[in-house]
Amino acid sequence: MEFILEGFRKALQLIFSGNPEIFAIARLSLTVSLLATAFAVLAGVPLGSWIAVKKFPLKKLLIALVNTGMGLPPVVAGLVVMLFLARSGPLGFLNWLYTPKGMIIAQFIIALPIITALSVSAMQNVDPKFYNQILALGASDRQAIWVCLKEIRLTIVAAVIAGFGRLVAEVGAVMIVGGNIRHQTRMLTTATVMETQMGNFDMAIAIGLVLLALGFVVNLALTIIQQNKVLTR
Amino acid sequence: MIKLSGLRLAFDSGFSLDVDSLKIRAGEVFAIIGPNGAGKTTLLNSMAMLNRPAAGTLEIMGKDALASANKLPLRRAMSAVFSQPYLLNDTVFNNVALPLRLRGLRDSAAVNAALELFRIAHLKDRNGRTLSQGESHRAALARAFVTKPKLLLLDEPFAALDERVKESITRDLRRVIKTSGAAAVLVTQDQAGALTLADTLAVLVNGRILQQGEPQEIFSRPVSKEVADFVGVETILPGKVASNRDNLCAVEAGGHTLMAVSECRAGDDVFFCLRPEDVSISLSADAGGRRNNFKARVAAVAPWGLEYKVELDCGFTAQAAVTKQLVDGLGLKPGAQVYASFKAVAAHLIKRAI
Amino acid sequence: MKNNLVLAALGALLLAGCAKSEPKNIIRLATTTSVRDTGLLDMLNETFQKDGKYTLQAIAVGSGQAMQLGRTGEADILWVHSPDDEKKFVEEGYGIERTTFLHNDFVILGPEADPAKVKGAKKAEEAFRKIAEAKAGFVSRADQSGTHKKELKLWAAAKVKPAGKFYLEAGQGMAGTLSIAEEKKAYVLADRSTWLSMAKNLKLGIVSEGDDLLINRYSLILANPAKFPKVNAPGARAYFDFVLSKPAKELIEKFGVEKYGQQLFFYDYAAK
Repeated sequence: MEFILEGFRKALQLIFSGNPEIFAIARLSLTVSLLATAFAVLAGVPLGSWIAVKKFPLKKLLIALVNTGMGLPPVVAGLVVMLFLARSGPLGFLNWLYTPKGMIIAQFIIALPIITALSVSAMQNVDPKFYNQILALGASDRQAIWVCLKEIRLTIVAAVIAGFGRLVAEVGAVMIVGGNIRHQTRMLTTATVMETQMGNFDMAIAIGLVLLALGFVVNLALTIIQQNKVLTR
Repeated sequence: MIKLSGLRLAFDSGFSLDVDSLKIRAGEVFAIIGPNGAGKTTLLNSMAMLNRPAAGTLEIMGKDALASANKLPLRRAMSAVFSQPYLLNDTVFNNVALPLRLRGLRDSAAVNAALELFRIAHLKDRNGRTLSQGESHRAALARAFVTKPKLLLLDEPFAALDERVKESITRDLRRVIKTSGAAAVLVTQDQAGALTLADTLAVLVNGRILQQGEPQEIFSRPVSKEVADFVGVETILPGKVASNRDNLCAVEAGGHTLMAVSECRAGDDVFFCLRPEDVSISLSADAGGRRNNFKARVAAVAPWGLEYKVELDCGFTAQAAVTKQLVDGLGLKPGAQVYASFKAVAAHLIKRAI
Repeated sequence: MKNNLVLAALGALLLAGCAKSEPKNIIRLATTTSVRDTGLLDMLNETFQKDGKYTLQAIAVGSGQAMQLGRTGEADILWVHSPDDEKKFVEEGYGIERTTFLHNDFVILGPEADPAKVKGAKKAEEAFRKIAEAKAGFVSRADQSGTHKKELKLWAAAKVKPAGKFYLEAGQGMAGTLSIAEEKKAYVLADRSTWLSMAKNLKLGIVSEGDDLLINRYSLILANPAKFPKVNAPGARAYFDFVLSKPAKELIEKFGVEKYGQQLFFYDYAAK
């Protein structure tokens, strides 16, 4: 018990002394996961809405696949991305392995099915008669989807929160694709693992606390945005 | 404005919509009535290009409405209101402005004008979700008119409203439609509303149009028992035409000889139809010039809206619609002895297949 | 519609921001965890990258995995310590100019209680035999690393095949393996440098040291550009020359003296 409290105390010291390395790592984690989430939203929300609204053969199969993708283990995503980005792999010429760009791609692949599946579900909850009404007022399919999205933005923001939460917490993909290289691809999660293994518990706890705080702050911001849209009148 | 032929839509449930031909002229108010499940909404959705017919042609404003390239431009020349207002979580102003925004236009004057038309200008900054039923239906109508559409589709727009509100909005809608000169297709279960608004009426039962024409025509001279039933002809008696002299027919029905003005010939098997509004009740045998006059016993008296329905046993059953004053004045009660009379010209004969 | 554009613009901006810090002239070094865990790698690489001409991607895995990276052309230069495997690596044409330049030694660590009574054993194979006989817990790197290969050699010398409940195969780097050994109160083979850098966190102690067999030699190997045209040969050469230079020699020899009171790595190359 002693050493836990000791570790905790030292951790707080590290944080409040403004240890630059910890904050550099935090900045990278934030950038990588936020960007990956943003790209996943830009791709996944329209994709999910389209799937929900359009009729086409094998629609149920596609939705099942997307739902399964929500449970994609991050390490598997990392492995696949690594194989593609390796020098001997098909995309090796990009030189994106062991760089933040590679990590963003891996995290994008993890977040995409989550955002897409939740968008499908949110869109399917829109009354089809409402959708028809918007069409009948002179909207194209794309316009009608956009109007419906604005009506279900609460759920969409919830999907963004879910996606970001998943990304900032995962360690497998960023470890494999990033390599935990100091000053370059070290993320909060991979640094925690490394410091724990090296027995530097105070550092590990410090990084863990920053990770928790980061997750909380971003989710707080998103929740405020979401709740502001709730009709109070 | 709309030309439809051979339109067919089939559903997994076994139900199918089969419309041989339908024509709606510019500036015409066309009402489609029919019982629940008749396919009215499906038909309207076809005109709104919201479903895909299995067969047939649909021409709107001269263009093939089934071709996907035409859908958006045609949609932008029409407008629709459904039984729920489906307003956005936004101000009334923005709600009414939506059709303009969808077309990439900004025109506050048009929005304000539309709000004025339906007398909700004072609500323009309120959130659409906070309006009362009547207010939100008005907003939906204002939204439909803001682009001054040439064709308006309405699917039971007033079904959810109470009488007074319904009346008031119907009046405003009629005024706006007539002033704008738009064609309107109105699907409704409200026969009174249909009578008020429509220039032409179609009766849709079980996926098929049974009769089309002027509303009064259909109500007084339905072409089949089915239609008669639906439009409220409550006295329908099977019988046979005994003779026809100058289109005055004597019909053997209900154990009596009833007189009707009709082109049916002697020997025809017919249904003798009579609307309740056309049956008069009196205590004296004086028929006042009506060719049909019978002794009757009051079988039942039931309230019907603000009036009363009186079931009369004349040897055959006849339904009469009378005012409360008459009920009170004549003391109509079950068992009372009265005289029921009706004009030959009010009666209607439908040919019957044996 | 507008929001979509704003978001897309933001995304593009952030991506551009990412691109601005685009690493130039990437050199990929595959090396061992023991070099990283001591902090030697960080120290050297900071100096190497100071003028900003190169970006060094140091992937710290076991020697075995490092050489595997070399075999697929994923690494430009290797810094490993598994002599037999290294020789094979060069023979098979994957690497060139193998230069053994550094050494430290391994130590056998054990719990305070020393259940196998290994303490004081002068010969490493004797220590290993005692551990096996006592069926005392032993944690192996089990990751094809240089340390792992050395460990296997010692088992062979002790004429023991390590297996069974007492033999724990961690599959991790030096630091992780040491943590497990400490937790399980087991014996473990570690390079002295990593041991020193982690000693304050561990309750293990040295039970045997000094045997010649325990000498640990590090070599640099360049990826063979003839076999792998895609490698950054000039970058690898630059790092190679740097590590084998006098300034690097001085840095390495000074490393750890202040902190641990002794030199962690011994330079063997005649640096110019």
